Amino acid sequence: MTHNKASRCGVPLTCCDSSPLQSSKNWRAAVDLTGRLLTAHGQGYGKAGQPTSHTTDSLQLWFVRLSLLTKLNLFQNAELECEPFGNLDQPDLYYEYYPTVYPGRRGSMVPFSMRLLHAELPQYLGKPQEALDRLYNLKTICLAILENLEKGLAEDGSMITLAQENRQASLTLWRSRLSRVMYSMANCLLLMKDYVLAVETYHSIIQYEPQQRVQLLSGIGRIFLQIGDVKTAERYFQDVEKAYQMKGSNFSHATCVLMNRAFVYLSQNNYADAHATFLEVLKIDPKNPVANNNAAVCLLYLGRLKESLGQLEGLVQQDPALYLHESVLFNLTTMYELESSRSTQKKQALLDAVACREGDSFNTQCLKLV
Amino acid sequence: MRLTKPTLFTNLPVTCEGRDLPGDLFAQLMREDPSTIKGAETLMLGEMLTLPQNFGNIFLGETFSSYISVHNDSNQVVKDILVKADLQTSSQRLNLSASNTAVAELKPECCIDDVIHHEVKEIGTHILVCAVSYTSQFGEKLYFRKFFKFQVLKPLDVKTKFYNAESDLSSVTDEVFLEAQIQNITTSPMFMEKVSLEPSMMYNVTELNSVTSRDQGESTFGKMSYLQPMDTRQYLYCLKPKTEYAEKAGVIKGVTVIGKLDIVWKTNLGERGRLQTSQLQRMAPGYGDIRLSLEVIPDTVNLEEPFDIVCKITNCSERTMDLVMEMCNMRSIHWCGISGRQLGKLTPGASLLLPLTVFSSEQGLQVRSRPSEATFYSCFIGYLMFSVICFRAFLD
Repeated sequence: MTHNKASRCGVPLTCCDSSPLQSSKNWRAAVDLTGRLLTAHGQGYGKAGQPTSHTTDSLQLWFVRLSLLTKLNLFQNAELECEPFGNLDQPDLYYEYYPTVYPGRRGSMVPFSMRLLHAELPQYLGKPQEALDRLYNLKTICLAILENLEKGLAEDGSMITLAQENRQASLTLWRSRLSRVMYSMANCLLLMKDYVLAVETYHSIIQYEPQQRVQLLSGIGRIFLQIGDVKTAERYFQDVEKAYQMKGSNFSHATCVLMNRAFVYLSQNNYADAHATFLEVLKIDPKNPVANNNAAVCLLYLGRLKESLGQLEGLVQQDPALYLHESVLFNLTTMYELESSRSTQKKQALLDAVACREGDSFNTQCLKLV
Repeated sequence: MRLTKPTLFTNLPVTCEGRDLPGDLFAQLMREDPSTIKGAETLMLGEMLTLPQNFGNIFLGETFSSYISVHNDSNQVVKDILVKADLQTSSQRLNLSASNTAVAELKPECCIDDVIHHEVKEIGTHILVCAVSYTSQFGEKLYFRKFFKFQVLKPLDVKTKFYNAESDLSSVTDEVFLEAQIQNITTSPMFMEKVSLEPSMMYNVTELNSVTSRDQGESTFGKMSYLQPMDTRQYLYCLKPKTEYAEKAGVIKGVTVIGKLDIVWKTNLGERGRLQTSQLQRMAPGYGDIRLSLEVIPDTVNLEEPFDIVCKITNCSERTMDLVMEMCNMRSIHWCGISGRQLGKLTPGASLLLPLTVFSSEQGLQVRSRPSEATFYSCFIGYLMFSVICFRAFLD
């Protein structure tokens, strides 16, 4: 079905074409499909260096291809394919370059998400400073545009007046883009282990995304736990409790508060209370996968290997869609190896379970079969 | 399996906007992913705990925790299983297992579990020896051992420097400042929970590593509450000899024991480590038998105008001294007074205040010193002005 569509050149793409492949997580197949579709557009394999004719559709295809490569952790491939685009500001990436195709339209054809991906990529290739530079550049642009909008100008600073709802929509859009860029920056700083700056950046997101305050404060608390500064982590978790008490009983906040408490118990070597607290989370939210996984982990530290294994295996069997996840499988295989030197059989069984459910993108390293 | 603390699973967020080709797909995938934070899926640091994947490094002062599991792989019941875990270092052998009684029987596919903890107190090779003895179904007594070797490394590099303060002109006692340089030589960041100096009997200590402002104590290190690998921090302590010890000898001399540093640190998820240095020693500055200090001296003086200073001479030896003072003029500093004066006898530990008048014939900061000769004692004085007073001491 999709092959036929690919063979027709210049077909305007809708997301229906590739989404069946994507939603079943067959990303490798999806990447191949984008390759074929791009070739149909006159770009793609072997076409680097030839005169280009980008369209918004072809750029979207490129974006999908690059983001899938990133999801597959094929960062070097993604970087190589990004290179011909330079810094995404070449003239042939602007509407004005194609006056016959897009008469009267101005601005960049590059999707913002693609700019973000392009900025984030270097950090996965051991060049986090370059990623930070690109992200800061993006942040500056977002801030400039927001300033223009707030002053009553158009996004690019020109004196075009916008209708009220257009202005509001634009403000909302660019605010969300700004906080997305800031998330990327904070994540990059965390990857670089620059904890002081990472914490500051996460903190500054709160003013743009106040509804994520609880999650951000909890996240910062966890960073301090990773450093070993349990006291400061507790202070942040107390802030979360205060925010939770002020807002009233929000279901997800209650679990957040309990999770944080459990992590503090863990940091104090109190595995028994940590386990009990994770069970309390399950009383509120029985299907919470994090609480289920973490409770099983605590059991191991309490010397109850069999129980822990039983719990995790049960979860995988009951709800494979949720629990055939890299982190859970890492834990399972680690415990199989601890249990017996004949763990290969059990790991093989896991591989079989994964094969019939997951797509071609599953990272089988977590099964530690080699 | 070594039980270091678990780690938090991190995600790699890939997002797009609604207007992009994938539409809501990426966002949906992230929402469905069990390891993301609900409501803030782009937050990288999740809440899923992952068990340790390898042994990692272990450092002196940390606690070695390990899971020991004996699993019956066969299809027969096994009886009288005794599990013993010992830790063998280069100097000793320690028993680590909690229970010493044998387990009656172990059915197939069942296991005996134990979690052991041991605070590592030695550097170098350690061997965990697990010995299992059991009786098979047929009454055969069997025994096997497994060895797990690991190295314990040094986590911190501690250097100490002493600074003597002769600044306190009014008291006999000297303050000693201890600067401790602590370097993190591990591969992960360390949170320094406590670095304190436990003084020896003779001293009182004040730590100078926090600033109190508005009832809140803040560390001098500010926001950097942790040490990155290879980073160094300097901690400062001020030690004052206790009054009873200061008066006793007049001045403390020779090699004295200052105290020891107690360092507690934490790493990932509260993994704790603790080290104490050995007793730190300080060689007191050699004053010899006589100590000369300036008690009173003006900051600035006018050229060729006489001014008064007060010196204090302390007898630091065990014998009574009979002092004679001779004044030697330098090129720029001239004495006003009688040279060759008898100062009287000075008992051990006692001191004598000596008012003198001096004037200077040259502008600028005067700094002088003169090497001592056999029967003359010369001393190095004060900050702004130096002069050399030579005197001979007649000893009993």
